[in-house]
Amino acid sequence: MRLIRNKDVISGAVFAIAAIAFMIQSRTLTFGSPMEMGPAFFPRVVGGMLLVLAIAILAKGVTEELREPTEPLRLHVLPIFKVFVAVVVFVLALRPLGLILASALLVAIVGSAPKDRRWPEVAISAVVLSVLSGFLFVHALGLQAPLMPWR
Amino acid sequence: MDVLSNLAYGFEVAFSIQNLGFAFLGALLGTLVGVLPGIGPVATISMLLPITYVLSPVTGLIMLSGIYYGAQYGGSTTAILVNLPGESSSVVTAIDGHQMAKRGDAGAALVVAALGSLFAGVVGTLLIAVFGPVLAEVAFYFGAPEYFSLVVLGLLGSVVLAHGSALKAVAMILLGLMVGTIGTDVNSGASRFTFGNLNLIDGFEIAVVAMGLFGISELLRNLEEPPLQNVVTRKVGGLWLSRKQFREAAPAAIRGTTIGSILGLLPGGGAVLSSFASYAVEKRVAKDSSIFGKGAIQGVAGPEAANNAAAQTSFIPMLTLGIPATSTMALMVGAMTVHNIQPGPMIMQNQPELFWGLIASMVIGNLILVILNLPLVGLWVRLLKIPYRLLLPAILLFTAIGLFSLGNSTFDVMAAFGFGVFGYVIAKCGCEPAPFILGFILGPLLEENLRRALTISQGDPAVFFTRPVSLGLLIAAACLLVLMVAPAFRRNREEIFQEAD
Repeated sequence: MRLIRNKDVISGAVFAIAAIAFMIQSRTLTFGSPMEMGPAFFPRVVGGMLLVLAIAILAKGVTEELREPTEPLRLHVLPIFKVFVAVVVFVLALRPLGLILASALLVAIVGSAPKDRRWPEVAISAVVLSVLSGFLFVHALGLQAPLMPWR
Repeated sequence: MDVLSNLAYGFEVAFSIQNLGFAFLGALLGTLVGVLPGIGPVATISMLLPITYVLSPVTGLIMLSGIYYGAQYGGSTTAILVNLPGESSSVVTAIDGHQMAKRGDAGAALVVAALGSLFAGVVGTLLIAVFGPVLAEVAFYFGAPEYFSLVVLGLLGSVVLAHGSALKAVAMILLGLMVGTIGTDVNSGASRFTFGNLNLIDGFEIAVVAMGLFGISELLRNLEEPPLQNVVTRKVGGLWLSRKQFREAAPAAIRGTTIGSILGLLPGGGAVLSSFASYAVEKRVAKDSSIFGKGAIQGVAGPEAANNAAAQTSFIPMLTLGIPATSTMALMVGAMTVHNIQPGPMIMQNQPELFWGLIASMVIGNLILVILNLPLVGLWVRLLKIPYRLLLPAILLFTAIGLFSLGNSTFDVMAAFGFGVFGYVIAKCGCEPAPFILGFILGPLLEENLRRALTISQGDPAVFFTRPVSLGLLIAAACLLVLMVAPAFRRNREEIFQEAD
């Protein structure tokens, strides 16, 4: 159990998974020869090197962890989740509701994330930032997005 | 003099109302970013990349570089006044600068930092003007094998400056190279790793990767642990130097400029490294080294000049060879490629207004910064009091809108969020994002030159070792790797970075 939360083990695993995923995906592409490199040549060579390093990092993590426990990786999932929700809501609301309302929603959601939040501040910044961004991006910078639900 | 007439032309370009305005805006934003807690220069530049797409290439780059060296200045202001280095290259400035401030000499420390930076900035810029064309001339004789080896050297250089394990930094480079291959292969037209997704036909936009990896992941980190804000308003004191202070500071600034100019050229860039190196040199040169750490003016002048000189000269490899030394420079390359400008030796011939205009604007920008920083210092200190909880929604909102504006696509927004989470998790595991972004940017260049070199040599990899320049570059790259593994060097490097943290 301790091993799964070792930082080297996790990063090694991330690299290994990425390398293997790229290698599998490159199956359908032609490899070619050094003289005439196909589209799969470079990714597969790099992927192979990455896989070797990934295994080295993973192995280092395992041996070190077994020798003496290291500080495990701690992720704060709640802030990530709140930012995720804010971004998803923004993306979904942008076309039907317009930039101003979508911005206000994003600010309101992510504004609730810091531990020292104050609700009046969140409300004020939602109003100010959404109106400001509407004028700045749509009027001044010519962004192609609806401003309000009705246009 | 060729350089002089070119510079005159550059000033003509830089003095247009538009360019002057955006240089000012860039310097202002940069200072703001340097001062405000929790947003670094790289995150800001990536946030503003989409805006510069609308501008002409010259104006866009002028603004981006203004942000870059502006942040350098702003960072030192907070380092001196409140012992909070706004960004990593002003860590050293805080040591003696803050001691001076405590003694009531904050004004002198600020003046020394500003004038030292100005001097170094102007010298660094002139070096670009003089040596840029020379280096570009050399680069003209570079064939595909040389370019390949140069990119390898540049990539490995980023490892030296990354925190933590070299193994992980190299893995991040390789992963960056892999992600860089996503999209249509220019050679065969085959689409690679796109999963049939039309949004990925041209691969990931550099701004998407950068905003995720630097902007959003920084934001997630700050949510977990809000940046420090122990602001004490202090009297700044008179903004002047005594003759004695000037005599002490001037040689230190000159030494710092020399060190910074050289280290800035190295692959991996050296704003942080050079400020530490300069501090060490000043300590050694001084008659009485015990004053360091207690408010020695040389300890402010030297490192400040060094980091600013390095910030300027790190433009040289990017502009002349097309090899960015730092993540900031990688973003500049991204900004150029969006306008279909390939940074490299051809830039001086094809885009003289860009090269010389940018250089001239740096001189102007450095002057603007002194004006912005010294008289307005009270305003900047007040800005320090803005709590991060108010900045956070604004940063996320502008990032999201900026991402959407890239191609009116919500896919980009979500992709950047994905890169953000990846960057946050992987950084917690001790892997830095800078090598990744360099790999991502340089990947296509590396692949293209590998392909060309091997085609010319009929598939024989010996071509990289039989051509002297290519061999030399590869030996340099190998030396970097050996250095990284050598125990003595590793220890020193870790010590430096621990101090920087």
